[in-house]
Amino acid sequence: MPLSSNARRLRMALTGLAAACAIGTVAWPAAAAESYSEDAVKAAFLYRFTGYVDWPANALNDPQFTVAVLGADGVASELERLLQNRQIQNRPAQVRSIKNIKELDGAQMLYIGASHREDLRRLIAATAGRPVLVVTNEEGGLDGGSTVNFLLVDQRVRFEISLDAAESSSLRVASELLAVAIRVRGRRLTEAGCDEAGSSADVAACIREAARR
Amino acid sequence: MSGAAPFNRERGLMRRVLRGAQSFLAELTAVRPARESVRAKLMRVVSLTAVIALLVAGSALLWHDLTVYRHSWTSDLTTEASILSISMAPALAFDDQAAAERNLVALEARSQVLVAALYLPSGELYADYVRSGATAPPARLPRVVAGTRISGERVELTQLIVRNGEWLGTIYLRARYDVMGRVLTYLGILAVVTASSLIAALILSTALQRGITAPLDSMADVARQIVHQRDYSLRVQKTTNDEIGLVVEAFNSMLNEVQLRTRALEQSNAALQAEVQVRNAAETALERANARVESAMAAAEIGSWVWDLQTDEAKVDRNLAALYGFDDEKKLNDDPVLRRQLIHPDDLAAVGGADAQALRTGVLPSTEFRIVQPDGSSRWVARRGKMHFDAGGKPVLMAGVLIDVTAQKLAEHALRKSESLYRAIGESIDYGVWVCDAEGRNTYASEPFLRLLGLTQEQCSNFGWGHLLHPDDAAATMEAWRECVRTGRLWYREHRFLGADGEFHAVLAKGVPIRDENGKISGWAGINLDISRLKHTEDALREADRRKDEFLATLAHELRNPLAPIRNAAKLLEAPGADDRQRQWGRDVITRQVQRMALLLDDLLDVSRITSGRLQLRKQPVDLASLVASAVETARPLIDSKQHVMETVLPVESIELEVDPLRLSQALSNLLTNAAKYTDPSGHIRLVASANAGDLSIAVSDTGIGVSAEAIPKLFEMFSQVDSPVDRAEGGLGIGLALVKGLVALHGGTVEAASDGPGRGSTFTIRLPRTGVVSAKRRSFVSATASRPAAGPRCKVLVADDNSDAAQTLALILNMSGYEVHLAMSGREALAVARRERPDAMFLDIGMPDMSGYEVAENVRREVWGEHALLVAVTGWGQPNDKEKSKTAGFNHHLTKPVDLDHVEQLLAAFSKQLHSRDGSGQSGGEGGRDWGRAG
Repeated sequence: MPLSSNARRLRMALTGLAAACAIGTVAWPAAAAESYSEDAVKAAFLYRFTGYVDWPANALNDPQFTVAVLGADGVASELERLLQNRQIQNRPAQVRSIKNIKELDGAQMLYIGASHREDLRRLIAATAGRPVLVVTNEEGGLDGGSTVNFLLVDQRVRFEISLDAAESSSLRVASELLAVAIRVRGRRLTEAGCDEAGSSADVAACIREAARR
Repeated sequence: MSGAAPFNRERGLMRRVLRGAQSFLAELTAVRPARESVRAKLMRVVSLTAVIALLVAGSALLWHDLTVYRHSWTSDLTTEASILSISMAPALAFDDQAAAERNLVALEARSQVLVAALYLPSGELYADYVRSGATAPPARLPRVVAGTRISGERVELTQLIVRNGEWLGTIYLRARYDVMGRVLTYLGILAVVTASSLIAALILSTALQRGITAPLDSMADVARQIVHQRDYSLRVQKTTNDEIGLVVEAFNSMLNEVQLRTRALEQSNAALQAEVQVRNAAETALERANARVESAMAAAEIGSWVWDLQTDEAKVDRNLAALYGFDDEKKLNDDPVLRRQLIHPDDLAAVGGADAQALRTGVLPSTEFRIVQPDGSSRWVARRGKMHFDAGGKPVLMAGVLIDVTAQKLAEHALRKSESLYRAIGESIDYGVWVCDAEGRNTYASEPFLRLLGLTQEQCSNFGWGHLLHPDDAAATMEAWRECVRTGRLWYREHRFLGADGEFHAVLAKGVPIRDENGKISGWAGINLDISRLKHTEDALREADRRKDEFLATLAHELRNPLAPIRNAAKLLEAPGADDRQRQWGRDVITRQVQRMALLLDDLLDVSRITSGRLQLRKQPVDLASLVASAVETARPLIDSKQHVMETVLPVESIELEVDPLRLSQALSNLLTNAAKYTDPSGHIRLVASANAGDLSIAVSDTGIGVSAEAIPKLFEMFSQVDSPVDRAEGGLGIGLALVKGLVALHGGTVEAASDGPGRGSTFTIRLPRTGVVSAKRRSFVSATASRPAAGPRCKVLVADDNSDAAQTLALILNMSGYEVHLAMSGREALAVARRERPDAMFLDIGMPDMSGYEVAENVRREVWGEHALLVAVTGWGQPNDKEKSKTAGFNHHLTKPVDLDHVEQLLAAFSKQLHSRDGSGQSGGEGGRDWGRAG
């Protein structure tokens, strides 16, 4: 009906406008990825990751979503700022800067900064069996057992994903995220014949295919 | 609103299409000419409805389709964008440009999408996909307005990519919007569908409409047939079981009815025709009758009027207007005041009164009044009218006629006049007029007859008059009358009635039957002439005749008496031996006897003249004493011879009479002679003259033989002589008293005889009316024997004036001067006196009523004797004009009053001198006097 579609459009426009106004203050700077600090970008990515990851039900018993940040104060502060008015997984989110892995507690997400050059494996092993999305920020981070690892490619923040790690954390990663990851590894992929060193597009397609299977 | 504009454009287009369709439909549904068949109408209805329905449906569908199309297109696009945005979100979120572009390229497959672009929230273009041939998207998107915008053949979509409440970027899509093609396609389909549907509908309806039109057609056919052939026995076949079937049924039953009614109508029509003919004839007759009435009324001059009492308006018709002298009734109807004005003012009250009475009592009394014609003459009209009432008894209007009754009125007048005339005549004539009915019963007798018999009308009616018939005539007369009535013959009979005076009056009755138009006797009318006077006259005549014979015998005898001695004397004179003395005696005898005869003959002549009215009196003022003296002198010889004593008694004052002295003297001397004759010698005769108030009486009484009572009436009749030895002895014709009576009568007097009886003497009295002049002074000289009147000392003068004082004064003066004066009190009298007296001079007043002085003068001058008379006008008129007139009329002189008496005397003196010098003969009177003025 003309009238209602008109109204709909009006609503859409207003929503858009409101959204633009609302987002403008935060997302604007966030979107301009080049002009923002790396920390900010990483923080943004961290936040956005939560949109593409599924946690198991028992992990979300907490009324709050906690992101633990270990050894990355810059990112932590950025992320804190980011999460002020936002929700993750439909619950208020908070950032907890931790010094120790033991402080993880019920955080659903862990970011290990590059400053901790310890054995990632041991750190990440502490989270084993727990549905925690571990994001690392160093070369070979995935080897340590993280699910996502930031990479800096052409001065752009990129990331790679380990499906196995996700699996062991009982997390599921959306294929869209896989598509935009620079690298994706995983047993299934190997089995599917998708070469982890292939072009992103192929990999993406392969992943998609694999995901479909 | 960005979406509204493309939508409005669509709507505008739709509206235009609709309007076109509307006008087309309007034309289709416009009023058609009358004779369009039902089929055509049905087809038109069907096609119209089909077209309209299809168009409406098509338009609606089209519009709907377009709307849906747009919706679906935009929602498709929106979905596309949404999908894209979802897939684009990670790329944007994680800044994977390559991935973004990879996603965009996938749009290649969507052929409709022309351009897809991804913008960062800052507005920078992040990634795009542009199909070949399409315009590149804007490099920056400064302002983000989410939504779709359709412009022409393109639709643009802008959508925000939001993930997790985060505006990651904007996606911009531009796609093809192939609407026109769609519309055209749709319209094409619509047209095709419409056309085919229409055709199908028409075909179908053509087939189906037969269900309607077929029965209608058959009905129409039948109807047409009926109309043409007037055959109401036709019917329509009912083929359908719907409303048309009902109509057909109804039509059929209607035809039934029509048929029945037509038959009935035809019958009644025929009857009506006959009636109409009759009515027409009646109408024509009525019209003719009306016209006749109209013209009859016009001819009879009867006008009709109507007075509406409620509006108080009266209307008159043409004929009435004609009575008023107008050509048409318009003027009279328009102006009621005019009608009033034309009524004679004397009759207005009567008319108004009649009107008022009509309003009061509801009955209009018949009124007769005069109306004034245009030429001013009056016309009598009678107005009659009748009041008309409404159902409630209230007077509504009055209608009536106006009839010209002038003729009747005139006739009435004439009748009344003649009636009164006849009545007057009837009452004035002295014979009886009577009317009886068919049975002979008297119904009317005129007043003179009733008076004669001393009866009232009631007493005379029927056969009341019969009781007054003379006993000798009664029975026979009544019988004769009855017979007459029975047979109807003329009634003509002499009989006698006993009059109221106790005398029997001989009556000559003459009567005629009055017959009606059938010839039947309806009554009798006649006259009764009192012929008793006739009878008396007869007797008298007979008597007179007898006396005349006697007289003639006596005359012969009397005349013969002197003849004898005359003969003897004549013989003696012839005789040669007679001596002088004897001859003288003879001459004496002859003279004496001749004288005697002359006297006799004179008397006879006089009487004859008197009776034939030829005796003319020459009146003049005469002194009574001298008259008496003269008469006495004449009778003296006889009186003395019988030695009677004569006594004369006269009044103290001297009386003057206007009489013929000769004749009166003659009368007196006759009486005296009689007195002497019929009295024994030494009797006594007495003459007494006395003047009374109105007359003068001269009574001659004697102590003679008297007259018996029965003889007195006959005394003065001709030829009557008292049968006495005296008469025998003295002789005479017995005409003396008749002569006296005649002479006195000529003077306007009477003579009567009185006697106590035979032997007791008698008295004969002459009475004369006194005329005016009493003169104490002069006495005119009266000559006794001359048969000619004594001439005056000078000339004769006539004074004429209608003013008696003036006349008498002048006459007196002139008389004193010694003129013989005659008086006249009017012009005609003056002329008459002048002709008789032939005066030498005339003093005439001019202003006399019957004949003016001028006329008298003119007449006098015409007379031979008047040519040289002195004519003097004596008048109050003294203008030169009047004097001229006098001169023209023949007057010698014109004197103005008061006259100068000296002047008059001078005139007369001069004139008489002239006269006498001319005449030359002697003047003063005496015997044989002058004979002035008498025509030679």
